[in-house]
Amino acid sequence: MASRNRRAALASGFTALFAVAGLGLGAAPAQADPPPNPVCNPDRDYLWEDIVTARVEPTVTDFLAVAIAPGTTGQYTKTLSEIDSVRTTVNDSVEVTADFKALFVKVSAKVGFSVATTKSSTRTTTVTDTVNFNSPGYYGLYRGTRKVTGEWVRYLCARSGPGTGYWINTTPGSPGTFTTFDVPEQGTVSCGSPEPAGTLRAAARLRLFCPQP
Amino acid sequence: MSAPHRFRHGLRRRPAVFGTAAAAVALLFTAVPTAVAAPAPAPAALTTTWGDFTCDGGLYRIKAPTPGDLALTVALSPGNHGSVIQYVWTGESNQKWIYCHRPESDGTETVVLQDSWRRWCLAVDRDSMSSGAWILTTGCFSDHVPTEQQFVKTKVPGTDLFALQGQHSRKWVAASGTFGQNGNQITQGDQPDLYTLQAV
Repeated sequence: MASRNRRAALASGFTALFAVAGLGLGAAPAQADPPPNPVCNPDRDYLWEDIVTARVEPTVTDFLAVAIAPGTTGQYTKTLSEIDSVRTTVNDSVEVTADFKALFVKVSAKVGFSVATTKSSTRTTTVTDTVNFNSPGYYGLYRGTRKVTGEWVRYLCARSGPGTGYWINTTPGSPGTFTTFDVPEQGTVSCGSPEPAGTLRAAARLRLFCPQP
Repeated sequence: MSAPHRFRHGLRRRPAVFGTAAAAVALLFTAVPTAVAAPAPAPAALTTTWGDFTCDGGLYRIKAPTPGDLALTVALSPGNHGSVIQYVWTGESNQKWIYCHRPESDGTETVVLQDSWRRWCLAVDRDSMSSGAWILTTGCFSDHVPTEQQFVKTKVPGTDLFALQGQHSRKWVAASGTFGQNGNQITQGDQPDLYTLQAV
């Protein structure tokens, strides 16, 4: 009985954990609808694209934890360590051709902020941060971004006659995939200041392993 | 079962492809396909297999999306000999195709089209990845089908129309030039034409 209770408690703990993780990822599901009208005019129409899903995930790319002891306050320049990176991809390929720029513009409209629209990466040579620590404490210097992953569909207007055509799905079976990211952000978090859940700052603060209150 | 196709074992011909001007001249001299001298093989009656492709027993015409009765045709004139054009249907062997297909998990089919005149395979000129490259016929292999001779057939739901996309280039098959003209060269590009397959 005691064992069963323990198992139940474990299971409920896992459920809670997954629920929190799900909220933190900020999924924004959408439907893979075809073009509203199956017929097109090839003299006028070329392609129809839609973002099927877009998932926003705060991602810390560079980080450094700094402990400021009493008597050591002041201005420091620190070099952050790379812990992750995000790069633009289309269908798992990093070669993002120019004709996918419009797709990423649609992603921006979907998620509500500007994402990288050309081949790019968060990776950079060195990330340094100059911070004036005016009180002792445990701080995290971070650089990161909002990674956006999702799925897209693209239809082309295929010619069936003079001025008539049908939309053809260029990714039949399963939608295409993409990865892109927001303009990187750099900053400082501390154990003394809680951050709103689901934000990049909260993700950075999690890396500090602050003592629970 | 006897082999249904007379493949050129390991032999592949690369037809000479000239410039646009030459192509235009060639089109003027594209013979009405009644003077086909090559042997016209008797259509196979049974479905056969070619590697992992299934080849239908009959022959087909591939009708182009034109107001007239234009079909994909292997050109016979010297300038564009062996290339594929859309040409008014006369029912000759260089307008009929053997249709081999393999279903894919995404609902499309990968197809190989072999002309019934000399049994060469529809292909992209010199394995090109570029838009504007000619669609032509090159010798088939008996033991395998290279990707430049494979095309993805995507159907329009609820119709008998389909588009063809080069397997290796991911470019779409369509007629070049002014829409609907007899003799237009078939090329690969960014916008597909829709075809229908009709048993003949």
